[in-house]
Amino acid sequence: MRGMQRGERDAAFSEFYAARALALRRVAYVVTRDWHAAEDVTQRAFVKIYRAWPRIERGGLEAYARRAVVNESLTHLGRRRRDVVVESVPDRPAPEPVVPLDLAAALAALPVQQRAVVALRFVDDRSVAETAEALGIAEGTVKSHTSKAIATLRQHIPTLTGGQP
Amino acid sequence: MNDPDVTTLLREHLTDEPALTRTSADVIRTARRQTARRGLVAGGAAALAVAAVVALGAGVPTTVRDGAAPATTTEEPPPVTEVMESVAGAGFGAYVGELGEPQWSVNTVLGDPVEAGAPDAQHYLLSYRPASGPTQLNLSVGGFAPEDLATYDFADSCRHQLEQRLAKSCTVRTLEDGSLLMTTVALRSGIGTDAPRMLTLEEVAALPPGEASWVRVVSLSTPDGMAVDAAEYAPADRLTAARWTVPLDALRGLALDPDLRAAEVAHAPMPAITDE
Repeated sequence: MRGMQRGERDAAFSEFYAARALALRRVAYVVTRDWHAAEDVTQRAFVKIYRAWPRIERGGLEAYARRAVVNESLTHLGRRRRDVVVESVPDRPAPEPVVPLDLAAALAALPVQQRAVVALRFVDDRSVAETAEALGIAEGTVKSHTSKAIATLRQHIPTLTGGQP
Repeated sequence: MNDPDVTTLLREHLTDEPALTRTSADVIRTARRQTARRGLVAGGAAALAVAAVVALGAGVPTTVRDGAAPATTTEEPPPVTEVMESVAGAGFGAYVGELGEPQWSVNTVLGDPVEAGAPDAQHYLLSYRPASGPTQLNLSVGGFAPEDLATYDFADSCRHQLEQRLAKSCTVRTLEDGSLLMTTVALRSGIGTDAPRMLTLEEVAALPPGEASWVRVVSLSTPDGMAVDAAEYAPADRLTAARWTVPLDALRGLALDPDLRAAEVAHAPMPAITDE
């Protein structure tokens, strides 16, 4: 990468953007539950990626991008004072009575970090380890969040079969 | 039919996603602007100990003179900071009154802070936060290399901002000498931070009161590599229109001031990217 000219950098970045922007925006959407916000945070993440491009090891580019998008999504929510992201998110009391919901509403019932885990595990097909790295939390926490998220989703979507925690 | 699993359900839910509205070119353009201007708008930037403003007759903003040639002189030119404070004092002060303390941010082409007058000082930003009236007043003078003109593609920038509804209005005019004069009215948040954000009306409506400002900025880009901006930020307490204090002609006068165009600043090109 040393000495890479701007044209080469732009071409490589554009290729990466074309390959990953849409998928990462889906992750951002599941976290933020708003397509407009998802577009915005994805762009902000990619601006940071472009600026950091020379310093990012190519092997770590995917992980860097995931983490950037998730962080921007969580920052977006933080600014809106909706949720606080912590290592261990206290369970919310289950809504009573539990009624069937569509998926969007069911996702809204999840704490934000559980949504982030769901987005990375089931939308972006990331492993527990990759999800843990992206969120900066322990793998055990990822598994715990996954189990709780699936349990909550299953409450609201009775036909749901589940997934691998 | 089998019951869906989480992945299937999520993917079905995402099938009606809208198309991406921003291209990699949009991202690159934004990133370059941030790099070039990083720190320029940092709130709370340490104010430089600038010498008392010298009364410069030539510092009084001129009326709009399209294509006006930069002033030339055989004498040692005054420091850029003095010229800018003098010009801003006359141009803004006539409408705002007491401007308050000047806040300076001087940066290299990479946005690194540098002392005013240093050989690599490329971007000078002077900000005031008057006690009443405007939220903030900015006057900036910067240099760029001819090969970086694409970075300052005003016409494209205007088109982009209007398409994305990130500007309420944006016009570009080519002057007789080939300079481009852009006038923009937009909404922004994060004023006084290093990450001001352009906003749509819908985004502002969703923000808590007081987090967004209107901005009206007149920007000049000359063929010889000078960029001069004059801007007023006003509270976005009304989304239909801003209450401006500084007339548009005064902002134009500032942007077109020949002494600002003649300021001695660095013109280093955006460097090739390395693994430094």
